[in-house]
Amino acid sequence: MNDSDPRTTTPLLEVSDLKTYFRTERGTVKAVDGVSFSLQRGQSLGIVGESGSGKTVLSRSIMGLLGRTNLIREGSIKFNGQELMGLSVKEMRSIWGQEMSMIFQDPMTSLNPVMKIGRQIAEPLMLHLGMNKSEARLTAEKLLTDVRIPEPQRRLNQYPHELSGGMRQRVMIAIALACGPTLLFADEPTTALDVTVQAEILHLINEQRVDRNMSLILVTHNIGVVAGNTDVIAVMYGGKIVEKAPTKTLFSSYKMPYTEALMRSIPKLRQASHTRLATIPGRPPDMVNPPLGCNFAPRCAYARPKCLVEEPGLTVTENPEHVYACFYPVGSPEYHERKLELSQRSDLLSTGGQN
Amino acid sequence: MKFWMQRVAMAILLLLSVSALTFGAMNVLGDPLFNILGPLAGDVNNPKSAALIEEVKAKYDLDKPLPVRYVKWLGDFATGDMGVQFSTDGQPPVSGLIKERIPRTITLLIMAQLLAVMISIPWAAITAARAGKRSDKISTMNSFFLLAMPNFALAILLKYIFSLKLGWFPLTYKAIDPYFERLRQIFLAAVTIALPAAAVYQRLLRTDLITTLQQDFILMARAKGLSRSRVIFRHAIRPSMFSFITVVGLNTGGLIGGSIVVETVFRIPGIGSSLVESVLREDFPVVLAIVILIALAFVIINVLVDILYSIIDPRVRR
Amino acid sequence: MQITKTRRYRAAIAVGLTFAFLAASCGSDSEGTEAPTTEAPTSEAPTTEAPGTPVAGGTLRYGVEAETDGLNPTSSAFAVSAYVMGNAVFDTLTALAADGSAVPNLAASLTPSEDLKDWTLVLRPGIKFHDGTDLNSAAVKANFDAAYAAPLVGLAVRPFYPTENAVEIVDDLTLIYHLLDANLQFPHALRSQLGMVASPTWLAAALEDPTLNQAPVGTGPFKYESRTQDSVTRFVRNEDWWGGEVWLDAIEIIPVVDPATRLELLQNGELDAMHTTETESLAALRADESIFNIIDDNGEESFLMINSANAPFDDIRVRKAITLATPRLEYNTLFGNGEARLADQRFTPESPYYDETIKQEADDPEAALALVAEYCADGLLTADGSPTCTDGKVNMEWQYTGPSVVGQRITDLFNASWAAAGFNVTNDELAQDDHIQQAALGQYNVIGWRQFGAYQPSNDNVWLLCRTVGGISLNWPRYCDESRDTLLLAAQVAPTIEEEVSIQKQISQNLHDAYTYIFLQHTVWANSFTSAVNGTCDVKTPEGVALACAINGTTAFTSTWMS
Repeated sequence: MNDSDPRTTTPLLEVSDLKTYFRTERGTVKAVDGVSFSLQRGQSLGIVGESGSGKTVLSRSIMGLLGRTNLIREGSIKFNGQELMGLSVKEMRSIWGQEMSMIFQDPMTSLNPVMKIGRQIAEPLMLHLGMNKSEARLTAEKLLTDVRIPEPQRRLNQYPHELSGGMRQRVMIAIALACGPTLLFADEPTTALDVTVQAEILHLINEQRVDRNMSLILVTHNIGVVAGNTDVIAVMYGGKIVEKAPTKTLFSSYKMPYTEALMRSIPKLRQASHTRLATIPGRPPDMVNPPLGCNFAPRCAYARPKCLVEEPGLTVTENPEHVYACFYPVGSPEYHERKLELSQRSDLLSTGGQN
Repeated sequence: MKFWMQRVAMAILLLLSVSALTFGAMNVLGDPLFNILGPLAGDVNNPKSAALIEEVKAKYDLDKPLPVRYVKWLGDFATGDMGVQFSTDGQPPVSGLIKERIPRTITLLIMAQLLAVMISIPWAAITAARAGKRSDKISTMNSFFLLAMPNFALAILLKYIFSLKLGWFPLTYKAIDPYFERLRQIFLAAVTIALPAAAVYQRLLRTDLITTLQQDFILMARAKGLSRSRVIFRHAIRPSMFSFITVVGLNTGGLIGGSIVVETVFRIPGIGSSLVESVLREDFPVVLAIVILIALAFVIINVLVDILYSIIDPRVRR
Repeated sequence: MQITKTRRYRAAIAVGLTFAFLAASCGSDSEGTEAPTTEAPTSEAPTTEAPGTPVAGGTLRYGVEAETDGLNPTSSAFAVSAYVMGNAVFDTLTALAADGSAVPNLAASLTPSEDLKDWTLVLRPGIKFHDGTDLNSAAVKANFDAAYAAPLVGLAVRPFYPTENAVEIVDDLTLIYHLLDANLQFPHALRSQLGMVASPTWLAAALEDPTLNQAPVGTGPFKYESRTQDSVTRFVRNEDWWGGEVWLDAIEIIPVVDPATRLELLQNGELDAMHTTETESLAALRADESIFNIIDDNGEESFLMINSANAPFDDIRVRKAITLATPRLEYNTLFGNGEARLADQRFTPESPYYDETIKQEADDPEAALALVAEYCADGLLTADGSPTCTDGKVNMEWQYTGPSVVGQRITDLFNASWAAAGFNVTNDELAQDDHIQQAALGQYNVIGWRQFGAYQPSNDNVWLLCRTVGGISLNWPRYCDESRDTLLLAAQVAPTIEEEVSIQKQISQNLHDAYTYIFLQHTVWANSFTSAVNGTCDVKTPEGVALACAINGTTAFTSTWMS
């Protein structure tokens, strides 16, 4: 953000035109369809989108965790200047856990149920850092302390089912942090947790990020989750980034009608954690046969004929960090015109009943 | 505690009914007197033979009603007295025969079971990791082939290839050879029992492994940077073992069945071949003793399987 | 159908086979008029083996056709496998010389009284059993008494000896056998099971602990070491054997029931020696140049046996009819594999006792039909009141051992031929021991059998005399003919071979005319050795008399050595 900062010159992660397709019986699913962004060391990026928008595939594709059968992956992923695309699984393994690690969505199912916590944390330590058993155990204990698990020593000998969901997610974080990665992926890290625990976990992740000068990619369907925890937010829809901006900018002056819809759907604290974007009518696009024009057009109240036939490219706003993909963004004359029509129509609808 | 009491009661009931059925069947269908005396048993007109017949009847309680004989036999059996062999000269005690033969069968079964497990786990791991690929399909064909092949045919095939053609293993079992030499002698027999069993175990474990490999914690393990074999063997195998262990346990009974054929083909004087011979000779006490021992083995194995469950999966511990 | 095919370690089977050996098994020609005993016309010359001087050492592994129940010669049923083992651990009082005579072995001499009823036996001095017990007249008597009293073995002993004092001790090394009948051939009786002498200490102990029956103690060239039934029985060299030096370190007897497997093991080198009667194996053994064979069909014959005690076969017309109805030639074609020869009588054509005028009748269904028609016209009833004939056909039962593929094929063959010749055949498949029981108790019509293995024909008298008809008959057809008894007893006292041959020919004619046996084949025994085994046929008595090297599938091991 500051051009004079030397760090900005060599981004930690640079993704260019990343495409990730799956061959299925129905046809090719274009789960990620040309995504580009870069991330500086220590910076945090939130990727927001509905389920099916390709955000989880994007994070796993960057990390290279997708199975290789029936997968098409193109583009470029530069990590610390090294091109990851084309590396073998074997070469990736030295990066996984050590340089990049990931916190998964469901702590209930993401920990091995038949392995003690201690061993699960120690495993990457012994593998990547060459620690012996007792060193790894000591480090594991320290990690558990770092993620604020009480009685860490006792926990090491417990099995996952003996811990609460929040505890388990802390264990996951401890595992992900174990080898001091420079890039941490957190894929819906709080979705499966109680609302009260969510904030604590998010706070913990962010705190650790700052402490360890890590970069973070936080994937979520809940734009509210990323609000206070990321530097930049990228909104994904139909396998593409449709808007990207520094967090504050996005919240103050989003351009995409889709982002607007996401903003409206931020779950209130009282609501169940799994409430999806019920307020956006329609369904996400079919990724096998995406719409001809703007992916969001079929669901967009502000769409015009042009949106249905022509795909909008990314437009840069006056703030060079803020890009969006829309012909008639929020604030444009067409937007206002349509908004007026809509409010009138809803008036008509609300009064029409009396006719 | 109540659970275990029920188990014990069930086991006793099972053993009682098995023994009663076998005892009844052997005595009703056969003629114990003839099995002891041979043709002398029918020579009732000769006073010398008649005296002998009376003597034998009294000695073996053949003049008493069947239930009385059963109860007496049961009492003796419970105290370790399995009676005498009818068919062998001098009628030595059955317990001697059992004691001599049971270690061979147990060795054979343990070796077979170990081989089956040792073969099936990596086999399942490899095929599960490559599910749907060509190597997996070939392996599926192989396992169906092994499953479809009768035990004796496999035995003859293995014998032909590894003993006769290649000469890697001896063709004969000799009870007087040193222990390790005898292990080598029973190896092919163990393989014969193990291969079809391994095929069953592999099919089962492969299916469970494929399910396990879709689990989140496997992705998590991969994301730690663990190698594929470590992911499979350290993370995936154990949680996939439940049906495997059940089947391995229950199948031990099936292996005992298989050992009957295999011991006969490989001429290993164990419990299985003993059973075949004693049935052919209508040597009731031997048949009875072996049938009860097999039933007992089943019961014990079932309990062991239950115990193993709780070791493998901490979640079932109470 | 035949006892030949299946394993033979049932006590019951032993009744048949024990006595085949007990009462029999001698030289084919008592005067040695022709070829040496073991050299049957169908055999390779047994005299020339690998040259060289014997060396000590080596373990001989011998594959036998079945396991045996026990190794106590006074009480266990000795079939061929027991003889192979018994030959290692026991010595017999007499032995079969290469010229076919019985010569003293453990005995120093055996002398008859004037009337040939009392035989004085003098033992060699200074012989000890493996357990240190002395071999003396008391020991021999203890053996005889035990055999006489044994329920099964005694069946073949008791008919020939008085109830009291059959064996009388004269002094420490001398004893007298008292016989019921004069018998010049008595020495032959002491070369088989009855002549094997076991330690009396062991016999007494085995009565207390029957498991000892598996751990024999004799005077023989090898000592019992270990035995696992159905696996291996091992004997080791007796360093102090009275008869001289023994070469082999050990002998291991391994039962291999399946003949094809046994052959395979021999060719594979897992066995050094084996015996077989299976004709398919015989062809392979002959073809294998690395194997030395002693092949001999002078022993047992296979035949059908007819129970003459019950209707309808109490009538000689029916016995003759079934004989004529039997497809003997086809049987031999189908089941002889070109290895077995058709049998017409108890002797092969090479035997001095052979009578070329006696031919086994068979293969004449028309003549059979005529006899059946004649018999059925009488309208007779069986003992239980049912008619002997239905629709002009004789009702009969054919018993055979099953389940067995060969047995079933033989049954099919006989059924077809007999049915065409006027018989209503009911098949009765029985387990082998039941089969033997029915035969012993006379509960059969027609049955397949194997017997008459005696080299000295008088030793087969036990099967033929009237006195062995009874509740349990060893005279299985239960056919009693006083004039035949006279001939049988006369044959065993015949002073010259010419006279004996003449009497035996009359006996053969009598057997033929009685129609109780339908001779099918001479059983072929092969004893086969790999090229590493030498000296099997160099066996001699201490006096240097050459002994027969193979008798009915058994061999001695005293002169055998391995290179």
